[in-house]
Amino acid sequence: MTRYGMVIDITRCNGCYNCFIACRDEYCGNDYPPYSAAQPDKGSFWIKIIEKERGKYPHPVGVAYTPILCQHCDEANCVKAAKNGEIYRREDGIVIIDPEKSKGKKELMSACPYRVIYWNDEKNIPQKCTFCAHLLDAGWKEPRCVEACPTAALKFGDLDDPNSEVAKLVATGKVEILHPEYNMKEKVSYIGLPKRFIAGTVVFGDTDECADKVTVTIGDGQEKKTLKTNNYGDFELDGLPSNKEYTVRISYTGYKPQTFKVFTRDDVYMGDIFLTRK
Amino acid sequence: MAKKVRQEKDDGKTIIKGLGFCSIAADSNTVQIEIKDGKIVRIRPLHYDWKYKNLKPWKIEARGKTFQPQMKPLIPPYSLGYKNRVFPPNRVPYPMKRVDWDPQGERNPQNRGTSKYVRISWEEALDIIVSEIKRIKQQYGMEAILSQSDGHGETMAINAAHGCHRKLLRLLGGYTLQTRNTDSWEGWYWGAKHVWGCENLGQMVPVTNVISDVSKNTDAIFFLGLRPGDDSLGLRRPVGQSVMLLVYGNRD
Repeated sequence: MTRYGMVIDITRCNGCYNCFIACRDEYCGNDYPPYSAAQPDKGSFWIKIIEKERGKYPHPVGVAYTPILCQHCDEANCVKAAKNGEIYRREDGIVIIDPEKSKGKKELMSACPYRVIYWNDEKNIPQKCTFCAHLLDAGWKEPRCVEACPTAALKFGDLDDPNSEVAKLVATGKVEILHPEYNMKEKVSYIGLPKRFIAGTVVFGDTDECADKVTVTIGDGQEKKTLKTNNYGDFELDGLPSNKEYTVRISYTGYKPQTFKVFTRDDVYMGDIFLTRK
Repeated sequence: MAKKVRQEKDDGKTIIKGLGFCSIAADSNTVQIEIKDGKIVRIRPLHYDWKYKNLKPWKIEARGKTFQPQMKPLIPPYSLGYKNRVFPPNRVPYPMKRVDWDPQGERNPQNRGTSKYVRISWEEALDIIVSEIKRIKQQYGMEAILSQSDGHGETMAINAAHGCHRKLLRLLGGYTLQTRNTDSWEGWYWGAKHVWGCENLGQMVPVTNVISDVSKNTDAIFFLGLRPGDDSLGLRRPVGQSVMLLVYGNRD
């Protein structure tokens, strides 16, 4: 049976906002009964993009763009919260808020921990992404956001069809759920969600030269990772969990080793670290 | 898929149109505009492969990866949201004139900006324009007419089609040009050179640094004086992510 889902490859997203604009183009001023009423001109972000700036000058600064839309969960909180069928799941897995039945039900917004239900003041209804159900019914292969994505960062298809691109990507095991702790069997998964990195630049204090091939050991008490600085003296270890304490040890023959404690509340750039001779 | 699209067209109309704004060819960024009840429903990229099944797109194999174009133009956000430009609340869709402005009689210039406007017909508007051009020409000469037509308008393809009124004023005897911006021309000049591999000003000297060579044989690209986000040559797309982009001399 068809079970529609999406895989979002964050490593390919350049933050052009085409997905968001295509969504606005589709829904602003257009009603698609029985799935959706027109989106208001302002204030609704059925697919929103969270921009996270990573790193700090002079370490290379980048931005990770995470598009967030309704995750069309198989065990959705919102469907459970809607006692009178205001929110329901179609046979193909798409979660729909009925624009007629949900009138005035503002409390349904807070049923979603992902916060992807938006309030339409004008029409007095909660609204969210429908995976463009009306277009899929008309024979489209993908919703508007996926069609408009220039880098193919958004991928859409049938998760139950082993030959579909999304099913193959899920099978690689590289995909993650945005918030697995919600336990809602989300049908949107991500590749390359931004984690935390620890980075720094090592300098030989006596010669003021970039410290190449210096050993950097980063450990959390149980596990240790060892890496070497490059010829600019830079090191970076990405993909670390957030809010964890790490010990960074920097050592090189003939120089005094140094040890630092860092906490991954955010990405950590330790700045210039000067080594002194023994 | 193609069949379904045709069915959908039956209860509306689909126009295929180039929505490129400042581009080498005026018909870039081809979109399908779906119209129903005289209203734009949606603007979406044209899918080349719906009608033509035997397209053979370019393919580059480099650094263990295969690069291939998508079978649709990559529409920029501005074109994708163009519906808002067709029906914005502040667009003036028909000619209007100030209520207390009579070009043949009392002009009330002291009320500019305060008196309201009234709708007039296109015929009346054209008559006013003709008589005003004649009046100014006789009274002060053509140089008294200020024409905002900066940019590449003379090509009538790039930077909007203001080449027409500029040519008309030139035939009538001249005008004073208002230049608001100094134009960037490297986008189409340098861009075209690297796409087609030759100068586009008539010399036709073959050059080798074209996008396909760069895409195949590059490990790193060094940009001088660019923003990290700049992609004026469209290089990031064909070379993909396995090429290191180094940026020096950030313009910001």
